[in-house]
Amino acid sequence: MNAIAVRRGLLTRFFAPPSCAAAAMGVFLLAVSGCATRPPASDTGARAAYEEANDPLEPLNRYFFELTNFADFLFLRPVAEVYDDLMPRFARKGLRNFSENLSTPLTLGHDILQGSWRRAGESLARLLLNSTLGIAGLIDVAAMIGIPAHSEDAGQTLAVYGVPEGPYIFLPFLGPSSLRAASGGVADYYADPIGYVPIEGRRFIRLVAGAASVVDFRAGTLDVLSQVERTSIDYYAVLRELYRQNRRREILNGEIDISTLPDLSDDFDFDMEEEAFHQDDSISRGLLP
Amino acid sequence: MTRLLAASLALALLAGSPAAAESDQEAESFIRSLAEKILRLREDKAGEAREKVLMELLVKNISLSRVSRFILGPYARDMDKETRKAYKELLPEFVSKVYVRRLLTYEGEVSLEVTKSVRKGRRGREAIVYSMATVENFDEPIQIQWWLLRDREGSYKLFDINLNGFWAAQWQRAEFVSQLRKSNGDFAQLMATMRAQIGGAAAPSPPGVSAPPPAAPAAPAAPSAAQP
Repeated sequence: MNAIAVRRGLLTRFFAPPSCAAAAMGVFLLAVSGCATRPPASDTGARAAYEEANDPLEPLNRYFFELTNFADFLFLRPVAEVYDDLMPRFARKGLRNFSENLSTPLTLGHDILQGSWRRAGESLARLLLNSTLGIAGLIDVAAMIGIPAHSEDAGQTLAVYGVPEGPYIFLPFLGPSSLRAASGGVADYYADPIGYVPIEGRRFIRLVAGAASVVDFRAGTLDVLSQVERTSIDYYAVLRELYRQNRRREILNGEIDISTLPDLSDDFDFDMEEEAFHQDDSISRGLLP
Repeated sequence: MTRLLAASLALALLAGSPAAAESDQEAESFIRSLAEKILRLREDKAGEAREKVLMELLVKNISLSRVSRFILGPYARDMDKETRKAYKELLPEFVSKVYVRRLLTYEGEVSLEVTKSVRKGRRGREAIVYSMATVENFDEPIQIQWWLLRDREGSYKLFDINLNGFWAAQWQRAEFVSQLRKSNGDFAQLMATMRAQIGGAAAPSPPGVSAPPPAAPAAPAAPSAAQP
């Protein structure tokens, strides 16, 4: 199981409705003053870069990014470091498995909505095997017999149905997102079947599992995020790009869609060093939706 | 319960295999050969000799004109000839020290297996080669795809590389374009930053940071980690 699977569904576990209205109002007020200025059409390079970034709320997003980074530095990273040092490997694995199993019903629903019957079968098999033989999901029995984990969410389902990604959004304390993915996250909060299971302490279990998943994910990315941050010219821009690439990969279920890559050999001859610099921007646009 | 499980497993097996696309054996050989040369460098050479050979390998095997233009995004057209010359001279060193050196300095065992290839482009002058790298101390192998271009003489050059789902040139482009946006298209500032990164990459890394290649984990993401 990968880190994406662990992270998936965190929003659905933490996005408590009572806080939404107040937060939305605050975000709206900040957004009004936090819009990026669109460069004039005469400045072709800057204008094209602005359109390509698809981040009209960039000043506001950068503010939330810094805020989140600071909170990470103060709280989450220290906790994750302690967790990384003290938590035995098998316990971490069990925690990830449990969390992943909790999100499987939602994944199953999206598999069906996307018409992905093979993956729906896998999700159902995983849910049945891991919830029973796997002791409430603590052991990933399904993976042992060759049925690996995967994750789906409403944002991905919307993408499959052709809904555009929309502008980039950095959600404070939650991370990179887009209008489509964030809307899907809210829908998932209400649609998650686990939220309707009539058992005592349901909300508490979801909250603890979600919090543990966040810490576990952060512990698993301590080194790599530190390295990306250290070697980045612009950490914010890098995370935005990585988020988008990752989402594209998730929507395509881990595959590379070669048909979406531009046909370089048709556009110009790459033997000609100088000419490459004067080519049409279609290649650039083709790579970045 | 048993029936339900059997039905779900049957459903899982229903997927048909996609039609096989045309493979490119020459492209696969190119990648095997390139990977072997780079990995052999880890054993055979050290210090400056290794840097020199690595630079030669990169200049010879990467389509620098394409890559250098691509990562400047819409700003590429605004670069004058003189600046372009300096920038293109700087790029191989940047790629060498900021990216490939990490692989060379990693002390664990690394091996690469080419799994398949697909031709692309109407003229068949591009290929995507799929491979899998096994890295010591990593739980799972790293999926690597190589995007190659073939010139008129039939020689291949590398345009981009995808590590576990992340295209490196696109990643670099996001950074460069962002920097250029912030500096109103100031190429001198961009090249100063590149030089600083080259210098930074040359310095010893803190313990535990330099070891894995950058794209090894499943997905770099935001610190707070939620991804709806």
